[in-house]
Amino acid sequence: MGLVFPANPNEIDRNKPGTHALIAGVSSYPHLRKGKGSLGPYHFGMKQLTVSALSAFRICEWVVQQRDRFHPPLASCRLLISPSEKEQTQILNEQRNTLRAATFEDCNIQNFLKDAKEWREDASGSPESMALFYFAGHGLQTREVECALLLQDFNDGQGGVLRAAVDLDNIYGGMAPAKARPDIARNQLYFFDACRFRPDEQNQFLRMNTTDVFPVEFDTDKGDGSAIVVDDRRAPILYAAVPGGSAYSAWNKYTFFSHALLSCFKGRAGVKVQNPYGQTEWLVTAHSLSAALTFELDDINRARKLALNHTMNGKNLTILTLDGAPSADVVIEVEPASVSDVSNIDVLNDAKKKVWQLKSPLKPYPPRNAVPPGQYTLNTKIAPERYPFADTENQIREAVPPLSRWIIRVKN
Amino acid sequence: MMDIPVSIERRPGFFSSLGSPEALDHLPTFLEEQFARSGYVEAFDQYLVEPQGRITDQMKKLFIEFLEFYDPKPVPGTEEEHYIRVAVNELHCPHVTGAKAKLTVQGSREETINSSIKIFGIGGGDEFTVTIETGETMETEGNCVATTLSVPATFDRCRMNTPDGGHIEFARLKDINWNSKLIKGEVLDPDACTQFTLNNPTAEQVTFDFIHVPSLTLTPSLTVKAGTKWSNEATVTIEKLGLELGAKYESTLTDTITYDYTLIQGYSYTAMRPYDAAYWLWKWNS
Repeated sequence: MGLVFPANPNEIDRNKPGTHALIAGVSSYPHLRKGKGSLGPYHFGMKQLTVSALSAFRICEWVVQQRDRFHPPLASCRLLISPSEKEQTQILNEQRNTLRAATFEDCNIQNFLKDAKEWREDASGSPESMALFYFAGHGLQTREVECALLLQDFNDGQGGVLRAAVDLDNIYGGMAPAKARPDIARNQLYFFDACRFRPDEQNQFLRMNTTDVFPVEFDTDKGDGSAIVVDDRRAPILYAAVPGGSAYSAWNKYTFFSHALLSCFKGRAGVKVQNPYGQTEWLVTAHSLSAALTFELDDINRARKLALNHTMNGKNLTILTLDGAPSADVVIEVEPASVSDVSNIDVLNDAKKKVWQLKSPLKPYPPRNAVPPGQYTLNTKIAPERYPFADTENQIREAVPPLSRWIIRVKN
Repeated sequence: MMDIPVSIERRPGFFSSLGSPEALDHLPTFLEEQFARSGYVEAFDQYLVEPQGRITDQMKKLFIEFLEFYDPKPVPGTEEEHYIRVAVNELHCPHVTGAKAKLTVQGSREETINSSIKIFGIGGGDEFTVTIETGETMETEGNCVATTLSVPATFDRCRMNTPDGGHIEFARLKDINWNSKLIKGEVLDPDACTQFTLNNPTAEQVTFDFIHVPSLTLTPSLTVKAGTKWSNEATVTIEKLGLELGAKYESTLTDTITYDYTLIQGYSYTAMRPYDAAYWLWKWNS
């Protein structure tokens, strides 16, 4: 089995609230183009991937390392990965103490079904628990299946076209509260780091069925006073691609979504809250995560000329607590922009200490920097003088993670 | 020197597949090679993208943009011939008087297939898989030797624009000679036995402590199983371009190899096999 935390399955206390994670990643598809096995009949133009398994490994290692920050703390973590040979070497190099002794199971359909079953059982002991799911690899969308996760043995020529694929909706439905599992975790979080493209080849099939991960119960009202267990989960799903769209990776480095996700977990998605004792905490919630992902992915889009676009469904939930205030990116723009070549800006923190000094001409424009969140004072001097513009002083701006845009209107 | 059957399989690389969707598969490797050489990391980085599905219109758009701006192409009439020297088998032996080593290929077929060597496309050139059929044994005494295959290859010059308005030139592996091949045995210099360190966590390691044994010689055997893969790099100098190229190749053992040793008493010997090697290296002390 793919349990990497804790080392001993007997240490998992199902009845105590805890976060239970199932993380899966596939890069090596033996039956797709350039795979190690024989090319199967329905590859839909897909080939080997370079970083999905590595990205899943990195998410897993971070989750285990930061286990006490989760709401509630991590109680179990399962990892299934099918890495390329190059990734295997990289994983070996990156394995730190948290997962040093762990060996990893292949992410094939058999292992996936087994580990998903155990994951659901572990998450079924307390409604206050959280279930976390992450998948990176090939994905597609059909008329029947919103998000099909393609596992290692996809296209091996056995059974139906999508025998070695699972449907995210089936996983989501199987994790719903039901009479059989009244105490299942009410906080659930799903990440689908794969494409949702719609291959035209699906038109040659009447139906393309994935393999069910869970039987999905449908409780009915019998009218005898026994209540239905309603689906009152907070269970957002974050997709790396919009319906019909593609997810992308930086070749041999990381999936863009996982990279952005880790950056958000590490602080970019932090939101400030005051707890009932009056103390300030920085949390990452599903909504703050989605908002920060938009900024992160936009940055990648600008740099790479891509059109990455994530989506989120479902209610908000608190995911984790940060160990302190994260930094906020600040972009300063001068209005009108034509004055940027003579604008000199001093940025002072709330103790009136200069923390950022910008000299004219402002290049690259607009300037960007990471600063601690908080209130700042901006003084702008026009030098050399340019009629009719004049210096502006004591403009107050707030730096809020992940990104704040400050516009300075120069007097005239 | 001996002549042994060699077969060569060719797969189109970046330049050969231009105009077909397969060219997009080769673009990342091609660019990684070029920016490692030219240093234009940031400019090329935006093209090093893979879809987690199939090749998309977005990818095709990026690719067309790349070709229009950078315009990589071979320069006609710039061919040069050189040998790519790849190691087929390596046999290491403690440098101790009387110590011997013997390599035997355990082929199950009458005509044993010993090694499959994949020479990766260089400079956007095609990829070649060289399969060497050999049922050989190899012996050495007190030194380290190798069977090497010298593959006669044709390189040509290619040219590509750079973001600053200039251009770079690079060599491409254009072809390899299908009819001519040269296999020879030679003493390894430099010798990996003098360079490795013990206690590598990812390596197999066996120690034979024969410092205080009564018998004169001992004859342990070690094996490397069929399916073992290892990679290496051959250096090729392209004179006209003043370039030294690293020709990357990957070998796969299709049969198990047995290594028999004769070790002399009075020494402690340690054999080590890195996980990505098909041979055993030795350290010894008295």
